[in-house]
Amino acid sequence: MLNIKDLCAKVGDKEILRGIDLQVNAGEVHAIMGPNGSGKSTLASVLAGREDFEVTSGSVDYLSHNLLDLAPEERAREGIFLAFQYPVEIPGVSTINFMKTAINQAREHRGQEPLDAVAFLSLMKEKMKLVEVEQSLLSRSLNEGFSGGEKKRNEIFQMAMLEPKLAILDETDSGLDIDALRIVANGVNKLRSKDNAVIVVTHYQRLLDHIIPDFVHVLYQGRIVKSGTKELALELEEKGYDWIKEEAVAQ
Amino acid sequence: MITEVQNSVTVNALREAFDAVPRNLEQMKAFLEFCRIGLPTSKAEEYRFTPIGKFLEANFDLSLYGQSPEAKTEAGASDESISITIVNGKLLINELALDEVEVSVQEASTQVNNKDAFAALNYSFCAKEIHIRIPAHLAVEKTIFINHILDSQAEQVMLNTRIVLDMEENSSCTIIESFQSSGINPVFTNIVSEYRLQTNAHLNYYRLQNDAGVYQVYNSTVRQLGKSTVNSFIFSFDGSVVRNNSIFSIEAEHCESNFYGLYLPSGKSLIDNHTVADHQMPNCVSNELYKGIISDSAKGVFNGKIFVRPDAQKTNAFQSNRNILLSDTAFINTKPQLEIWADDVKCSHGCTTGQLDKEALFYLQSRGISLEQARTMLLTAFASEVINKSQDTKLKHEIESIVMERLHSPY
Repeated sequence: MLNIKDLCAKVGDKEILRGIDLQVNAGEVHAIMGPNGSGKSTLASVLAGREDFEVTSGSVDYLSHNLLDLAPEERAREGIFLAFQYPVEIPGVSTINFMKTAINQAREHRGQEPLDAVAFLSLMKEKMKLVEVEQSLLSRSLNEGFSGGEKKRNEIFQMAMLEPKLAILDETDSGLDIDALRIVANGVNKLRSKDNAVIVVTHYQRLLDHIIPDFVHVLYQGRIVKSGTKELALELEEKGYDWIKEEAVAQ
Repeated sequence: MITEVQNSVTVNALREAFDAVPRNLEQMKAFLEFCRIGLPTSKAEEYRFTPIGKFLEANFDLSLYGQSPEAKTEAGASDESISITIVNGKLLINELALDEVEVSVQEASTQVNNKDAFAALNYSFCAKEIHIRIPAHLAVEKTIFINHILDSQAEQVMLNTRIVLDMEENSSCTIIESFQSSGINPVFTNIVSEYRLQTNAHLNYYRLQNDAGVYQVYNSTVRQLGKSTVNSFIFSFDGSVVRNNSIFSIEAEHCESNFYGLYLPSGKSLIDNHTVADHQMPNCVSNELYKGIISDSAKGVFNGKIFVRPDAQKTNAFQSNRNILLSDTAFINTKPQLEIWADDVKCSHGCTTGQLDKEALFYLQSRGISLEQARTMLLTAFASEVINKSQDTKLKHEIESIVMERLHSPY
């Protein structure tokens, strides 16, 4: 589904990604871990098409598209979803109207008729139940005055509505209490299928207790320095990142 | 007689126009006052960013000031509305009773704000006023439309109009004032209005300025003479140069004054709002929100004065001005000015100016919304904060669709 080859990116003069290689197949869950400043969020942002980063070399193939050629909205319509680490507050735009616009632009892109009000509402009700959000929250201005947990649940709600093929969760666990973490993880797990894939970017192992990854990669200084299975995450939890850094330096 | 003349060529041209017709004593006094002030240039503090005198000199024959082509005027009431149509400044039907609302042309009655050059100029040339009276205890259900039709097909239009609204006690009404110009010659309208609200009067006032290419100065004074409420909306969407001086003179206790503005200058337009909330009596509330979206090489100016006089204890006065600049050549000058002489008051003001939030645009795009649609969504949301203050659903939809149309064009 996704094939990243030797991806390098910088912001200003600062190189952040220095040759990422990663293959993600349908049905898989990949966790990207690593110490602060290793480039985890940058990788997520580059995949979603954030302008601030300049890709200097490498390629990203996604479902036979050259992903780097697509505008952010085109990537989204092709099924990529980024759950933001810091969801943006947008006064005056309700989540409901926002989602209606987003879904119908994606449908238009696929040559489908727009959803009518009834179909949209029933889809919304179904997904609300899935991620345990109230309609009152969705009628309010997007993320404005939401608690950290509400913002993250809103991200997962949007993900559920848009039914992406590739979901990228950028530190979705940060700032969540244990109940919110469970709700968010449940939401993600219910959306898992053999046809879609998830990349979980996280600093801690605890989210991976709930969303069990097939693969764990450790990012350090802009490169994947170690890959393994879920046991690698446990080992990191126990031993910290220092031994990874030492190994990387030794290499 | 006139000694302190600043720009003598201009004033001489205007004096020629003034002398062309016999004037009364009040008019002469007003013209003298105007000559003392002079046509504002960029040196005049209140017109620093809007040197409208310069624009008038460049585009009009000032020796014909105040002479506008004759045109006919209509007024009438329908099932849904009361229309007062003013063509080239003239209401030809001199007296009308429209569903108990009395409309007439009278000798000019008052002179407020004659410190402003354009107000003084208006009084100099305008001995008559269009007078609207809402009798006591009358709740006017139908919307009152004041339509200004400006026909410059034959020659330039440079006119002075005065409107006085008397709302007697326990009366209420909604007024929508708009402008429509046609013709190829330049148009300048110099308007003075005074709205007097007696006890328990309730006014909803809307002004729609959406006339490309015109020059306009609008001096309005709302005098709250008894416990009264006013909700004022000024939507300034187009025009070469538009200047609104809006004064809310709060002269009685327990008044509420809400005034809102939305301005969307584009191209080379200049839209300038100067507002004054003048709290003279205790226990009153004023709420002010003005927002602007400025594109291309257009300019916006906002100046908001709040005066709280020594007697006006327990005043609550709030002011906010927020602007979005859509291009590198768009310009805004914003200035709050608070002068408070009472000690037991709550006042606040704030202003912000910025560009569209890039992070918000990316957030919307990352959900599959096109950049253009994302921009429109954010701008519409920004503007809707003002529009949503209105209780008039029909008007709200009309304004929304104008705004959508304006904001949808590519940037």
